[in-house]
Amino acid sequence: MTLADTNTPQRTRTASLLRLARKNKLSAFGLLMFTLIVLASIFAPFISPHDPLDQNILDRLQDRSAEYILGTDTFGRDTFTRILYGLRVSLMIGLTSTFLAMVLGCSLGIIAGYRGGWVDSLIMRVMDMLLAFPTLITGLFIVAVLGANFVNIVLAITVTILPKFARVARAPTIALKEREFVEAARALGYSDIRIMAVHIAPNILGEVVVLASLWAAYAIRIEAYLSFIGLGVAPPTPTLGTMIRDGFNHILDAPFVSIYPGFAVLLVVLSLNLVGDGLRDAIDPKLRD
Amino acid sequence: MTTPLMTVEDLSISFKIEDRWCRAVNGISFDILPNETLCIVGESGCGKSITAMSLMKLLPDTAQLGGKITFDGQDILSMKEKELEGIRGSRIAMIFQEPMTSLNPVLTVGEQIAEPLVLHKGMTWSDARREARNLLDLVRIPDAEQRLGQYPHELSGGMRQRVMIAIGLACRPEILIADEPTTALDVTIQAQVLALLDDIRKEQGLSIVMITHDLGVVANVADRVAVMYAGDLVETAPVADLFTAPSHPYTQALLKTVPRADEAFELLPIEGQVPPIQLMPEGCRFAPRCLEAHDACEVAPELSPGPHAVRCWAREERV
Repeated sequence: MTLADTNTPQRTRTASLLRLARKNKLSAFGLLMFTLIVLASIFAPFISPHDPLDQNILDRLQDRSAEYILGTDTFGRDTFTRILYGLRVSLMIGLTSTFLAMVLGCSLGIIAGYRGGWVDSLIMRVMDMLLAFPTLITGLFIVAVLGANFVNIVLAITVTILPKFARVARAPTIALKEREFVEAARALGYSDIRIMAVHIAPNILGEVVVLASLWAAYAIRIEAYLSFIGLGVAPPTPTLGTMIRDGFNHILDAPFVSIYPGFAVLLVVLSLNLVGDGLRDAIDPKLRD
Repeated sequence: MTTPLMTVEDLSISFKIEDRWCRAVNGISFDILPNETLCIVGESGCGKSITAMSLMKLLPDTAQLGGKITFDGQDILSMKEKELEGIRGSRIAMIFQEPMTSLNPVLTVGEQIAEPLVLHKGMTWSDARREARNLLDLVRIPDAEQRLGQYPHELSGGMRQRVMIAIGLACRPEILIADEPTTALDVTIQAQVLALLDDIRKEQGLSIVMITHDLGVVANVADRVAVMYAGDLVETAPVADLFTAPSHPYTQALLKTVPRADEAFELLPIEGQVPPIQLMPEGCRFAPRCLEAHDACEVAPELSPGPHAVRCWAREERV
């Protein structure tokens, strides 16, 4: 055993992360790309000289130029600026709904797995019902009924991906609750809620985080779908989906108005998928060298 | 005579097997005295582990419990789950057989020792962490400060069992139940852990209930021994009496299965097997394997009174 191995777990963890990044260059690239995208959307006002809502009708539907890096849309708004601001909304919706789905879905899955019996049946059958509908239809239904605004869109996406987290959390919980440390925890007088939250949840966090990164990409895509069919955040707030839809009317004479925001969606989803794949390889011992 | 810390009266535990209630523990009674080590001995499946679990009412809902377990004037078996949670880990603690799997792999040693203190004693995490350090000293783990930040997989089996003991002792319980605490350890570590438990018992004045199948362990640490066979308590005696004058045919047979270093003698296995729980004989449960069985054994004998108690017709007649 070398000295480095006996160091604090923090240090060894960083070291192993670095080793992993070196081994899995593609995922490291994905992580870098995602970080840059997030930073760019946060610092949008400093990066872009334009206002995302500023209409300049004389400059409408222009191609790339020094002034407008990625051209302008129907109302002469700068596409590059709108992509940066649109990323903010899309990322916020995607990440918030994934986070909510992760927390709620895992809670339900752990409760179902830990309790078993009728509680398990009840929770999992409801989850199966939600899964039975195609994701987009469920989302569409919720937004159509409740109205299209930020909160409802987050809600719709949360509900569509929540059952997937519940399933992923339930299976390992069933295995974990038979382990002796859960018995030991009961012998120490810990309540069931405490055992689930403090002792079981951290054990399944790894698998769940992997999925979260993959489902976040999916959530961002659903947001783009919903916006594209007109059920997204109301204009003039830019989101990637609404921008693609706005440009769709001019797809023949000015295709770039749709293509650039579409490309932005592609980059976000691709980067998140690369990160997710890397995390999965890192956690799955079967794929490890 | 000292007042017992815990009294178990006529404890029976039944499980439903193919629509029939089968008694895995068949009405046993014993006391736990202050500051003693009581060993419960028996072969696999004799009911010693579920007896230990029932002392904290830690059995699955499918088990049907009968009898009475009195601790501090209250009946454990009729307590509600909330009340039990207040006793478990705080006044009665338990350590398990497998130190490899009894610790949570994703929490640090420090967190796991501190948690019962925060929960039961209302300590702050920083106070609890300081106490955890003292507890690691108590169970003689070197470099305590550094160990607190480590995860269970970074420790050896013996170390982990010491950590388990530290967690069990954290709230200064009155009774520590140890379910085969040394079975998974090799012999040298086993001796260390047993010595440690014995020292701690003397220092802290707690009582230990040790579940084991190893008569060597019994001879080492026990003050009193209870021998179980197929859900019955067949003999209970002070440790010296049990080894010098075993009275129940099962205990006698059991002692003949232990190799000895001081004299050459033949090991005698006990013929036959423990009957499956659904097919337990009506009378004495040991009768089918007993060399001394006779007609009277068709009715189950009672446990004789006194400090050296035996459950056998042959002994009754002799007294």
